[in-house]
Amino acid sequence: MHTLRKMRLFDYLNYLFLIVFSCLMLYPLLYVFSISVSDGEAVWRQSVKLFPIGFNVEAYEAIARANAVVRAYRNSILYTVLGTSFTLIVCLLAAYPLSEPRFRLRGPISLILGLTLFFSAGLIPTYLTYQSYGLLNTIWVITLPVAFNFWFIILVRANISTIPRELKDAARVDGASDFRILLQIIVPLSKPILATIALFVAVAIWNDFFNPLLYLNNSEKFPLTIMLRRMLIRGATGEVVQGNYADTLQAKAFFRQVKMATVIVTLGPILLVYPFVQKYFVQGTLVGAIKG
Amino acid sequence: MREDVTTGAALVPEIPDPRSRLHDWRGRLEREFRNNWQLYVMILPVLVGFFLFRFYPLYGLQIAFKDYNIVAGVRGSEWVGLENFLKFFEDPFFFRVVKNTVVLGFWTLVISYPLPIVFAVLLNEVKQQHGLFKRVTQSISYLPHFVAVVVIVGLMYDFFSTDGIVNQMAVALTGEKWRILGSSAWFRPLYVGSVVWQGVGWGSIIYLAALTGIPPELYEAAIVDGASRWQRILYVTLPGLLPVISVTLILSVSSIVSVGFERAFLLQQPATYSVSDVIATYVYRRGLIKFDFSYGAAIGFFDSIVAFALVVAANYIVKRTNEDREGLW
Repeated sequence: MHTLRKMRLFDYLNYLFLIVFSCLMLYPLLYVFSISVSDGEAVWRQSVKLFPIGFNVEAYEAIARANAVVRAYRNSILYTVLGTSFTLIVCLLAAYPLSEPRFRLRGPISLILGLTLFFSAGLIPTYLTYQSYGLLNTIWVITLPVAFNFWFIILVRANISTIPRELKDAARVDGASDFRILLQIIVPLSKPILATIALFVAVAIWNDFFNPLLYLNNSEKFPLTIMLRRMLIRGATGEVVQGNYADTLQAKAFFRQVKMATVIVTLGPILLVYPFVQKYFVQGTLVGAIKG
Repeated sequence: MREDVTTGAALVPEIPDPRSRLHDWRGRLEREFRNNWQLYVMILPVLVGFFLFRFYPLYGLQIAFKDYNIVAGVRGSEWVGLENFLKFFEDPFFFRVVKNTVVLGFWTLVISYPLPIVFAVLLNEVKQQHGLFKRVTQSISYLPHFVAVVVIVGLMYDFFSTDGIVNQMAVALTGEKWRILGSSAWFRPLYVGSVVWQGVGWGSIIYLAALTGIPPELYEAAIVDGASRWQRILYVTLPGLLPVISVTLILSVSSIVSVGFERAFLLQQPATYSVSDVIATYVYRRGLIKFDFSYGAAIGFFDSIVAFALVVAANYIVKRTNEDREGLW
């Protein structure tokens, strides 16, 4: 084992490379944070390169006062919570019957729903169909379709089939209904896989730009991602900064701080929970990869 | 009821009463519902949802073969056969969007596909006694995966702007500013670069998992046999990854024609359409912004057929080239 432990030139270069790589991953995020909390003067003089210079939270106060951003934030939270809940409910309602051997339609239903993994109608037909349902511009178009994902149902079903039969049989002998078995046996024993799915779906909805762009055109309903595009890419100050921001360098720099602060509050929830839930994400991807 | 039927059948065994089978079938159905009605109640909303949101839109796909107008609706619009497809092939932008999609998809595949493998192999070379370093590097590398595409592109607009951080560095190094955003020459590097930044770490997960499956004895045996580090990577690590590599390769080949909408859409500007307008963004602009629904549906349909054909072809090639004749299916 000695040669395996000894550091050689290759190892030093490799470690150096990995450290540089990590810095490349972290630098943009650190830079954004530094801009958002630095002193206004340091920002417009372009002296912030890495760590914050000075400290001020005016940009954060500005977005806390900006109705459009606050509303978008609330919308994003609402969509994420609702969409994730719907997904978990659908997963459980589908996975339990589809894992019960006595359920005769188990095979045909799995086969038919499985087709959705391979075929999708595409952008325009889907849009027209949802339009014909009257779903455009509602919160349902963002939160409901996402819940019907057979992939997640497969994951939950695979997990349920590892629960010992005897548990379910004993409950049935004691007179428990299927609903009760689902709630009191299946759900508690499926917590890890449900948590993994919830995390995936929550991040996907929180970060989703495509569906809100397609289906929402009322600014009252916009989530954060649409707001971010308007501010970061279109340069629209909206209600966030009053007056013409392009007037002075100072105002322009302040708007930049506001944009970066908005990015930070968007990333915030993910960055805060990330260290604690990372292992669920990794497990989830691997379960998916193996089953696929 | 059932007893009567069975007795009857026992009396005249060679002529089965058709009614008896019907009764039997009905009885079984009744029993199935009586025993499992709760399961049916559970799955019913799921079936309704899948029908409404996943299957019924497929019915709307017929507008690709129709001349859709809003008044007549999907069903009432007139059939036009393959006209929409022929129109696409004659479209002056046909060549442009197909070429842009394939070129962008090709470079993304060629650059962003191998990097996670390289990253996983390098991480695998980290000494066992430095487990913490390895774990921290892994965690950091996954992080960009969770950053929204709109945030990444938005930040690129800031970093690469004429007075952004990148140009500040460029001025310090070369003394002149580069025009990066809105420049056709820079679009592809920016696009591929952002895919790489976001995906390298996350993409390596599956390879790292495969690497943990390689028994350490193989490495020890290789060392005893005097294998150098390159030989160990070449003859132990890479063969261990090969099964996973063939699967991920098949799955990613179709990405050549299905360049994602979000990143291209957000990063493109009319000034860069000559390189940045891809099939997905063209479908969106023609179909939804200019209300040419049938045309957009036809282009989308064409794109997904090509993507499907590519997966089948890739699977075929992988099957032919590896020894075990194994592909995805």
